[in-house]
Amino acid sequence: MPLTRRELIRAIGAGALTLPLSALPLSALAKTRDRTAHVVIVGGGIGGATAAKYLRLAAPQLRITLVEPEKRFMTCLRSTDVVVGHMTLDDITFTYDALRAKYKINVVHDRAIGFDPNAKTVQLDKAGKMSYDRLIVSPGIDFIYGDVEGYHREAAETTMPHAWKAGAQTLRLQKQLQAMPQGGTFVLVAPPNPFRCPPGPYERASLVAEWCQQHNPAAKVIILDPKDAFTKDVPFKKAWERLYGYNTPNSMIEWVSASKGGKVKRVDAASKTIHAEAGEFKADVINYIPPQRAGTLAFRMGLTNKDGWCPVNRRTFESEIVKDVHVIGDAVVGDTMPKSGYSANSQAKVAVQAIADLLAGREPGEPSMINVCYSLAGQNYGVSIADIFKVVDNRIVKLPASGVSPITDSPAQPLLEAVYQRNWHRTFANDCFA
Amino acid sequence: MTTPSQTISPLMLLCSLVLSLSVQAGTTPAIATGKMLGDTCASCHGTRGKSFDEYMPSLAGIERKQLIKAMQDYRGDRRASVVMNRIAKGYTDPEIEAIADYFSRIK
Repeated sequence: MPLTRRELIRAIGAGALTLPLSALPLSALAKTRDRTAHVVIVGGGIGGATAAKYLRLAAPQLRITLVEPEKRFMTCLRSTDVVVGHMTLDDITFTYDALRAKYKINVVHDRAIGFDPNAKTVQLDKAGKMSYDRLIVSPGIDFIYGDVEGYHREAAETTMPHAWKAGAQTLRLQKQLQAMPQGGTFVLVAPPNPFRCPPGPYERASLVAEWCQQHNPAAKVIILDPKDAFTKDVPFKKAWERLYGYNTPNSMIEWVSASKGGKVKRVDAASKTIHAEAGEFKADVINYIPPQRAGTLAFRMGLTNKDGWCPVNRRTFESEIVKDVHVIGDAVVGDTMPKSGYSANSQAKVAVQAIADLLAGREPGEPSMINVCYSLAGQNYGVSIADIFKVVDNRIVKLPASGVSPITDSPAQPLLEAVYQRNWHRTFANDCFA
Repeated sequence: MTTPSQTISPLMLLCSLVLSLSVQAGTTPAIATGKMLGDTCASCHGTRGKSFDEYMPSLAGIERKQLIKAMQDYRGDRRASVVMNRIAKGYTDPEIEAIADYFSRIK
């Protein structure tokens, strides 16, 4: 990255001197009417792909470029199904072919290595400088290493995979699970809030327990958690009772919460020992999901706050730090909105509406957002959360009365939720990529 | 024949009365366009309401009245569902009408 810290500060400082968006007359924003505006999207995950597609649907004449180094995208969604062998990586792999062919998006497989917010250009590694009228950045997340003694990047890439980005990590964890000795212990270290896919660690513990019922019946899954609560914890725990003997001496799943000493202090990779506040845990497989922050790209572009996330105007997803740059997805400060693929898809649509309005010289329209998330507590047992979000006083507010799956005696509800989950993944991926 | 969907309980009447009073008391809340609201449906029901799967049906071209009634019935728990009861509670009547306008116009 050619930008030095000093250059970055200078760039942001200069950016901050320009007028805030609201101070500009609408006619100034409409200057791009006379020529074809160019929107550049950096990051081709769920947020970036959805933004590209929906921009085209909103603005047939717009020039749209999507910059993404990888030729294929693997969804983190359903990647735990790959760990336990119910799906393959191919099932969760999507290409940019439809964005190119059907939506006439200029998809460039390149890396953004520099950024000049005043000149409104991004520097690409191979393709050189590219100018934009509006930039959308969908940087995703990266991991924070070095907080816990004995756990570092090398450990994540060898002995203690996180499997929190789909691909090689997923297969590494799969291999370790399959190689676990009979009666072994699978320890999942859950991350602190906020993190990508809040129900993900608990879905993973569930599906690993279910896999063990078939292949390693004396094995145990221990979740070490720095938290005392997690999303959908009520229906998850009910499912664990029904499926894995939770709350009995023979439970296959043990959840060690923060108040029970679940916070990890130190790990020893060589002996696969985890030292938590509750004591020592000897593991055969360690799935360590580290604390998270906005993707490195967001840091390099100066889009992050002191907490390591990207503050945005919630109505437009325009960065509160850098003008004319919109940030979407897991990297943003989302208030009550969870960091999920569904949220990223919904935020992309709001950013698209705002950009289309701004480029046409209109006031950005009212946003509406949603997150619906199905998790599997077993292959035939789904639990879900559904929320609608509005923006009130620049905060994303969850509307009351929606929420998590009801607990009923009917076996139909969890079974149907599991069916919906699989249907949803296909339809959702199409809404982003096809 | 009277189905549960046609009965309205006093509690529901009270709820809707309170809801309409609270809307009248404040300034008219800004509502998103039918397209913006419809785009929130697309993540499950397919882009522009054209579904790719059988469990989450297409909404494109649906009859306006049918969609409004379905959403109101889900919201009032007069019609059973897996998630739509919870989702429908997040939308007001004007929003549901805007969604219905949007999808009913898509061919």
